[in-house]
Amino acid sequence: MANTKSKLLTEWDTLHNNGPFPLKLLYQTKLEGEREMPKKLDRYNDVALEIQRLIRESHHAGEGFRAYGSAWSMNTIASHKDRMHFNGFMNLSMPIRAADCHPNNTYDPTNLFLFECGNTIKEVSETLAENGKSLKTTGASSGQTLAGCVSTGVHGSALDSGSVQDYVVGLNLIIGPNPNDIVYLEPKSKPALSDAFIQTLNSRVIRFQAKPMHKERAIGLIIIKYLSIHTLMSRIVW
Amino acid sequence: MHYDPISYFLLLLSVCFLTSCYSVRLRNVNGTPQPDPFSDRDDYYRGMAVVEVDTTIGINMTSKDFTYLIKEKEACESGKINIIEYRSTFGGLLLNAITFGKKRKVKIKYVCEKP
Repeated sequence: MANTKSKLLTEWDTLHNNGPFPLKLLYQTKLEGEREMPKKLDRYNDVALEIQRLIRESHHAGEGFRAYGSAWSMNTIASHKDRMHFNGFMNLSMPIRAADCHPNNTYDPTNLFLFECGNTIKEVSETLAENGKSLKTTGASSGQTLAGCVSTGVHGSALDSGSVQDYVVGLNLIIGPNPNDIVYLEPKSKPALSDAFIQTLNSRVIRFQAKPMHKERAIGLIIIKYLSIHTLMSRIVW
Repeated sequence: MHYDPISYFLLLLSVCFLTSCYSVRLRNVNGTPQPDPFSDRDDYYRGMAVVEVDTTIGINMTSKDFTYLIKEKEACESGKINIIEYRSTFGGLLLNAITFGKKRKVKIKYVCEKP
């Protein structure tokens, strides 16, 4: 079972010290060990249950709950006065197999990867490099977590390629404490994952009509479980 | 011109102290240091899970090396090194000299790979 520790605090600050901001409780959750739970998907689903437990705990206490990764954002919205959760240890990643793709998938399966929210850009790049791939654009620093990059739209762009959020083809989010509150989102016009694989993520699939914003390009799949839960009503901030 | 021997001694001691105290840090180009969001450090290791070793080892005159095992623990979950810093101090050099190399001061900080 994933393990969470907490620390009572009065304030919290970002990496660049643009705070401090008030805070009551700081959590950190570590994944179950590989030796105890060898399968990545098991650990991925296990930590999701733990996050839901923390959301429930915060809800019962009548307090807010917000995730953060590397704390690089300089916006005041990156903090919450009640409870915050460090998700940097939630850094699982894995390539998606062709067999796990949707029948109407148009992406090259070798370009599809699942990354958990706490992966830093450096970790993403290393995982991709091990598979002979890379992000199309990247900045000079690579300490931000993927969820932070996607939610704040950072890390470089080029004439023919956007920044990190443009590589996302699906999102796996924890939006509340109940079993039905883990959802997988992807555009109906460009499905990537099969329903069977989404079921193994214990997720409810939502395929929506998305208006294409950019011209078609080959992009890698970055699925993030537990992006950022801002309030007890599980409003997603990004 | 008056030369005060005590001043000279203090000056020499200060020079020895300042020049013998230094750190050497090795950092992996690849990998990510293990973070510690609960840490309140404000130095180079801010936000990192640092393990500090500050001990004296016994080493006989014929031995030329000493192996310190890095074990998996909470502050080093992966058991793999990302950053290591060795610090040399005047006290360490003095101890080495006084004990003819039998006792060595070891001051090391290390940060493991993020699991």
